[in-house]
Amino acid sequence: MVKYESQLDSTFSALADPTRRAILARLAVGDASVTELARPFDVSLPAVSKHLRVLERAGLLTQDRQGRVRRCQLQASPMRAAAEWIECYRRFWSQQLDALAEFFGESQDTAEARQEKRDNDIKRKHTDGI
Amino acid sequence: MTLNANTPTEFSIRVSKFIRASRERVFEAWVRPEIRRKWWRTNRGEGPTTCEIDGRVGGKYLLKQIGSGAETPAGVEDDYEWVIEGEFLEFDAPRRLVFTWNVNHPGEPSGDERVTIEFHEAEGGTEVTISHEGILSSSLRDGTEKGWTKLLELQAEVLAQA
Repeated sequence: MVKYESQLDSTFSALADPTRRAILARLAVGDASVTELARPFDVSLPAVSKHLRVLERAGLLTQDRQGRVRRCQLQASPMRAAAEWIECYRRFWSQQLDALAEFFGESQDTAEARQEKRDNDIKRKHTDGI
Repeated sequence: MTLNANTPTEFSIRVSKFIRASRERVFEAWVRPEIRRKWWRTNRGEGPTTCEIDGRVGGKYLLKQIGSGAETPAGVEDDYEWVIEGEFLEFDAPRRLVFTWNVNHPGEPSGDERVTIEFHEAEGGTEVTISHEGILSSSLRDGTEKGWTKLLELQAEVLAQA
């Protein structure tokens, strides 16, 4: 879980800003150029570039330079890291519950086996008696 | 899995399972150390090395085990001794247990985590539901509260697209 922590920190910091969240939401629909990303926001291109660098550092997006045009692409893996962190805990509890079920499954089987043995013993005694 | 984003920085995990035994017996299996030892398992398939449970409101519990319950986190030795400890906030036999949850994660101070276990009578046995709630890590509390909520909102959207 330690592995995820610094990655999570930068992911969360990057997501703390509403403009950056809006940029990510836009990129979730598809790739976009820097100009396209800047359009809906009342900010300058340099300001958008700054947001993009923060998102890039957090590993949330990659930028491809095609000549003078920069295309941005969403990278969802840091979010997966956060989900995996929680998933790890979920698995922990699921496995404990499986172990608990197995414990009672086994002890019940043993109880049933004992009962069956008793039944057989009684039957045998009957048979022996006759 | 439920991700509860009502309160920023909080997470909530919920798992349930049907256990083929009476509520009383299942409850006992959690709170009586000699029974708990028999089924509580690490990822190495071993039981705890220490298991102390003071089953009452305000009572403490202590579990020590080599190897975690799930896979070993990156950067942690396989034979790391995990210490899980806490205090019972509710102790309502055989219905409900609420206790605090502290784990000695290396490099990650334990946050304010709590576990609730509910035991519901079901046909031929007991439905056990575990809820684990807490803060992902203390370092995330600084300036990133909103980030967490937004992350969860974005996550479904983003993962669906990815």
